[in-house]
Amino acid sequence: MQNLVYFLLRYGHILLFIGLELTALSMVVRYNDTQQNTFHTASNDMTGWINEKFSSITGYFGLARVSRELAHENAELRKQLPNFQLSTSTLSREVDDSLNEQKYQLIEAKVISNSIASLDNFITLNKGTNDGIAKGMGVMTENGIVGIVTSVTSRYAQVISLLNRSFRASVKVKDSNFFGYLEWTGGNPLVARMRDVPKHATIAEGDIVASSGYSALFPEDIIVGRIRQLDITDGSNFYDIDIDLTEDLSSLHYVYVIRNLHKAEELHAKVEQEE
Amino acid sequence: MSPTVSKNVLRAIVLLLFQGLVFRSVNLGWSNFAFIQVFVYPLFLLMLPIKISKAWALVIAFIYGFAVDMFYHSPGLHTAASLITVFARPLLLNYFEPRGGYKISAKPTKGDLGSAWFYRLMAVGFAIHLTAYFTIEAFSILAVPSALLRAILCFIPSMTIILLYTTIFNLKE
Repeated sequence: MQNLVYFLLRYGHILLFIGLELTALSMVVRYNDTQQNTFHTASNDMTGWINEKFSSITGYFGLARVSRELAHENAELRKQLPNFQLSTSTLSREVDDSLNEQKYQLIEAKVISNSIASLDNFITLNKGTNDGIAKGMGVMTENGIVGIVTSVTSRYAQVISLLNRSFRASVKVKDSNFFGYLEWTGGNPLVARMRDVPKHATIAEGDIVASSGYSALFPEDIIVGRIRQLDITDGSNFYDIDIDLTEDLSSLHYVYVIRNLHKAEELHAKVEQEE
Repeated sequence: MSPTVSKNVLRAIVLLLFQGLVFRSVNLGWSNFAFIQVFVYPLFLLMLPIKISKAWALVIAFIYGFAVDMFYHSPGLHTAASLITVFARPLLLNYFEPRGGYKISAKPTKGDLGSAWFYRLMAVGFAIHLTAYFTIEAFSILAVPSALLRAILCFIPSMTIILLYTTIFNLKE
C-alpha cells in the first residue's frame, strides 16, 4: 500500500498526462459531425459575443473595399432591371405565373470570425435561427461559394468553410456540363480541387467552374472559379483538376445565406426515388 | 491572491485574447504555399512557476488549451499540444538547470535567470509545441514532412512576436 502511494506521488503526473492527453486526442479523433456540432454550438455561445464585439472594431478597416464591392454589385443588379433591358417581346409580364415563383431567398449576414490557415477552417456569422438561418443552408458571396451552415444558435451561425477538408459541394464545368465535386485539401486558400470528372470529358484550362444546382444547397451557375491545371494520374479514370477560386476567403466581410424554399420538396423527391 | 498567481492569471487572459482575436486572423504566406500562423499562448504555459506541481500544471494546460480551442473551433487540438508542452517542460527545466540548481525563489524570467536561459527555454518549448500541434492536426503519418515544414515556418514569426512581447512587457514574475 505504501509502495502504491509512493508510486503515485512519484509517477502520478505521468498517469495524469496520459489520461488528459488521451481525452484531448479522443476529442480530435471524434471530430465527426455530431460532436463537432455540439462543440461549435457551445463554443459559439461563449466566444461569439467576444468575436462580435471585436469585429465591430476591425470591421471598419475593410469598409472602403466593402462599399466598392457593394456599389459594383448594385450596378450589376440594376442592369437586370426590366427597364434596363431591351424587351423584344410584346407580351406583358403581369401574369402571375407559378413559373416565375421565387425559389431561393438570400439572407445577408456579417462574418464575425474566419480563418484560412488551418486545415479545417470555420466561419462564424452574426445571424442565427432568429433571422431564419437553419442548418444545411449554403453560403455565398457575389464572387462565389463560401461554405455550408453546420450549426446555428439563436443569434450565431457556424459555417464550414470551403477551406475545410470535410467540405464538399457539387459543381460542374460550365460550358460542357460535366459535373463532379469540389474539395479542398489544405495549403493555398485560393486553389481548390475538383474530383470525379471522367477522363473523356472535353474540358480545358481556363474553363469556368460553377455550382451544379444538384445539391439543393446552391442555385445553379454560381461561379466557383476557373480551371488552373488539368492532370490525369496514370491508371485513373478521372481528371485531377485544380481550380483558381474567384472568391478570396481571406477577406470576407459580408456573405449571403441561401434559403432554398423548395428544399423539403426536392429532398422528398430524392428520397422517394431512392426507395 | 499572491502576486505570482495574479500575474499568471493576467498573462493567461491577455495571451488568450491576443491569440484568439488578433493572431487567429494573421495568416502569412506565399501564394502557393502552406500558410503560416503565429502562436503566442504557449508563452503562458512555459512561464508557469518553476516549482508548480506537475499535476497542477497539466490540469492548467488542459483548461487553457481547451479555451484556445474554443476560439479556433478545433476540439482537442490545442489541448493535446499544450499538454505535451507542459509535460515536457520539467524535462527542459532540468536540462537547462544552471550550475548549483534553481534558487527557491527563482522564476522562469529573463530577469531572474538571464536572457540566454530564457530564450533557449522558449525556443525549445515552442519547437515542441508547434511540432506537436501540426503533427496532431495532420493526423496522418504521410503528412508528417509537411507538418514539420509548417512547424518550422510558424516558429520564426512566433518567436519574433515572443521576443517583442517579452521586451515590451518586461516580465518580472
